[in-house]
Amino acid sequence: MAGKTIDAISEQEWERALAAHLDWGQAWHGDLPADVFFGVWASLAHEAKPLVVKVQLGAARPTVTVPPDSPLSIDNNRIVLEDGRELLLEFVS
Amino acid sequence: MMTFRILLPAEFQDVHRQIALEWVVRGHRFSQREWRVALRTFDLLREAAVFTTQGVLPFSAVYFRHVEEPYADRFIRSLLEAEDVTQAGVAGWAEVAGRIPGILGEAGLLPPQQPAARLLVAYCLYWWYAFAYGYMFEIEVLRDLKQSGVEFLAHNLISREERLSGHDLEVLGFRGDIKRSLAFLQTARGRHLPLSFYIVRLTQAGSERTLIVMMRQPMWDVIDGDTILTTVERLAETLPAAAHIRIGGAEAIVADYELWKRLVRRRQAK
Repeated sequence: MAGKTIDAISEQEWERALAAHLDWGQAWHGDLPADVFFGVWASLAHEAKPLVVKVQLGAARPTVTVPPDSPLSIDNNRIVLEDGRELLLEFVS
Repeated sequence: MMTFRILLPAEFQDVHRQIALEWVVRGHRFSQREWRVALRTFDLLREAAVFTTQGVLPFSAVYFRHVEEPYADRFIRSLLEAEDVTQAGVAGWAEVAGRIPGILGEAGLLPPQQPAARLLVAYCLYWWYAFAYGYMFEIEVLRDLKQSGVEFLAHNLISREERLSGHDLEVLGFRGDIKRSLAFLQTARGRHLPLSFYIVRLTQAGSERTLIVMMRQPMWDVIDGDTILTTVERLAETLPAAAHIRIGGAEAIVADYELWKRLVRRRQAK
């Protein structure tokens, strides 16, 4: 089915695809070859970029912001992580 | 007329529609490049949703409601009670995987005039596979650690809350996870390992299974400390000796699982 998209195949082809999945799923236990595993890990790590949080100092109260495309969000100066947990920065001197 | 639409993230393109189908058909034979696209595809599908008259249902919520919630506990109990985890697990996986299209169809989430809904089937199959084979491996390793005399604290797999904890076990006070190689790639995406150690299974030389432990430096310092600096290409030659690898900005200590167990037992005996 090379080059075909999942929503553009016939119902019969889809049924065959599902049957193939049940077949290989029983024989393959999700263990990648070492070269594939380390190669994918290396490329994911290489692409990983730190998440940026900007803290504006100098005003009476520091303000925390994140770039618009960040997976983080800000709620009342708290940094909201992707899983909903919050990170609160406390500045002490 | 029934209101039904599959809502996909803007980034989701034909290449992702192709790889979703290819994964269903032959995910076990994917190349490094195909896995990179597949991981991105299933990440994007996590942001996808189904729009029906009942509202917007994220794919992840559909998977949980119709697959994991009704079948997970029974599946895990069957593994814990089984003498042969693999045999029981494969049968349990296949039973549910074979039902997934029917379950989604009965729930009205797979209308025949909406072939894009097959993406939802692929998503549920992908995560059910990850769930089933992940716990099969975890239970096999926990049994082996116990039999090998390694002291550890593990979460209670029967409790969903504990299953969702950020780590699977603690050894020598270090938190770790037990991951199939594919599951490791779904969680450890950055330059640093999120947890202190990961027990991972790979294949080498065609099909021979190898268990390795990937660690952060502090755990290795506690149990041994000596490594050979090597490259990924030469790692297979270095094992079972422990290796310090740096790739793509990431680094870790990689040790053969049997060596790791021996060193942990030695440290725990002190």
